[in-house]
Amino acid sequence: MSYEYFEHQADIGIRGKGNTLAEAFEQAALAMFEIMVDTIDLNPTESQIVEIEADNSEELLISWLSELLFLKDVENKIFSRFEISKIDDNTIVAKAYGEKIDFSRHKLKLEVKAATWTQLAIKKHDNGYIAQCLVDV
Amino acid sequence: MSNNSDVFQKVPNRENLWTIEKRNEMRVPAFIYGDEKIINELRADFNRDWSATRQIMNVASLPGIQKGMLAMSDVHPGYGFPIGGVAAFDPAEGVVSMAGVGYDINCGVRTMITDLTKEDLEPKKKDIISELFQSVPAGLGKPGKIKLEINQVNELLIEGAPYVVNMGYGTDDDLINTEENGVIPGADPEKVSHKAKKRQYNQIGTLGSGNHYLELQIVDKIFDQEVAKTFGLFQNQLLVTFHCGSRGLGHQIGTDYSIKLVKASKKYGLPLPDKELGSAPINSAEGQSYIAAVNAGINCAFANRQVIAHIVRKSFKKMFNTEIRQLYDVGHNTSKFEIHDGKKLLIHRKGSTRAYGPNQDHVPIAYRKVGQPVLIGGTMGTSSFILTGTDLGMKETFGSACHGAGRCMSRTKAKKKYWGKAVIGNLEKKGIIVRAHSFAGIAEEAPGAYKDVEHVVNTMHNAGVVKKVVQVIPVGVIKG
Repeated sequence: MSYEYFEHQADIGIRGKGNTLAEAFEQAALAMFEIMVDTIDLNPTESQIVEIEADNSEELLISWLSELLFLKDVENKIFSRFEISKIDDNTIVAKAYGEKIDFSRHKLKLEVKAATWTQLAIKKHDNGYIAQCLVDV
Repeated sequence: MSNNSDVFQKVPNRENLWTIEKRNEMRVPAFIYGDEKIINELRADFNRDWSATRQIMNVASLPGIQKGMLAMSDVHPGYGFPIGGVAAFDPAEGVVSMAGVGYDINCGVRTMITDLTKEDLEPKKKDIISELFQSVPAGLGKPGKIKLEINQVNELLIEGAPYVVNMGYGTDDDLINTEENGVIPGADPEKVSHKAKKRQYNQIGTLGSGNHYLELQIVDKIFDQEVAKTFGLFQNQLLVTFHCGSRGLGHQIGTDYSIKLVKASKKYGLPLPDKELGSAPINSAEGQSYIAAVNAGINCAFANRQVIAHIVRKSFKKMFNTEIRQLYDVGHNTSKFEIHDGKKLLIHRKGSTRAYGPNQDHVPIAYRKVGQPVLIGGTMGTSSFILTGTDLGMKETFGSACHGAGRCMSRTKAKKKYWGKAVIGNLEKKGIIVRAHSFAGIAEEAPGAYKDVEHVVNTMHNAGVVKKVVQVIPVGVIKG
């Protein structure tokens, strides 16, 4: 279970990897928040329920990441831990753990504007799953 | 699609203009403004999955595209559309594409002019930069100074910049000197999701992060005295320029419709060579909804920059007891109906600045004889340009030009290569003070991560699409 970034001329690619699809999605979310803040400094004391419905697994990844960006803006919260309790091609039920932005403690970095369809892929391979896309910063 | 990268042909007897003939699914040829260097970069990238050239050819395959798919000299790969791309569509047969606008609707540039000189600035340079750093909300999570309720957001989306001017943020003269006078008709808040509106409750009048900035600039070179005088520009003059867009609201509209338009593409049997290139017929319900939502996003961005202009003006009044005037405000991520050669067209400009030439009704009367100020941002350590549109640009590019330098290095590479504090130190040696909300952002926006803006601008100037008026150099930069 891990994440990595991949190259793009103008923006950043995020890739979540895991033994299960849930882990890959969780890691993709963590990769996205690590672009915005040093997540190690967060106290993930507050939890937020996140439920997503979509027509297919690609749309599900976009909607999952977008929902977390939405919560970042409207709740002023950043997240560092994700627990997906249910996932299939059309649904996610999850909890995101984080806290309100605190300018004195958090090292804030680049704002992610959106998760995009560019280089979006959800793949199963011998060792598990990957979930990736480019994010617009 | 052909893997032969030599699809480019030089247009005879024209400087810096190349074409890709119609091939495969292309409905129109493509025209690219570039010199050998720019075209060679496109050739080298040709076989990548998401190369700018493939994106150019993909857009040229969309129904109803008029005349040709255009790419400006700052062309580089974007989402579905190339950045620096311009595409015009027939309203009856054509499509609207989310990729042709992007996730930061009406991201643009506004330049304010002062009656101060470099010498006037010098003793108070650090103070005014600190004042602006404190007063202009920037960086991730920084709320704006205005809190809006849902009904106010709805009104703002319809009324644009005049809405915030009526609240006391700015003047009628600011509106005169804004593209579309700061408000575009046809915005429908009903077509904008509640989520998008909620993201804007406390983001109006905020700069954001990434490549968004506010700069103090000095007029360093004048190329055209007469036009400079018309614009009110003189040697050594202090200007303030900032670059930002429609913030969370625009990002959410982009996300919402990226999903809807992929579905519409499938529903209407439109080409979808790349999922990001989702589109809908202009006259379909989905197309009309997206256009109404984009118009709302465009108005939001104008209002956003209007509030920032007001904050900047107040800071200058406080520090220098002087009034500053708006030169111009122009977007570079839009899709708008415009009339060209008597025909109504939907013009997508993705990372391309509207650049109207002389004698156009949509140019403020004070500038009408010479054309619109075209504001081209450079990078932190380099220069920016103010140009004007030309008759040739009206004829060839629907009155459009490049929008900036364009990246040449990925953010991850830039982060490895540069260190934020060192970048700031090097700029300070050149007399440029940088204040940043994030050092990570600085490394990624290091001047070396971008193409040479002079080269990009000269390419367009020599092609005759725009005309250089002045070059400005930064003396202070605020980054989100």
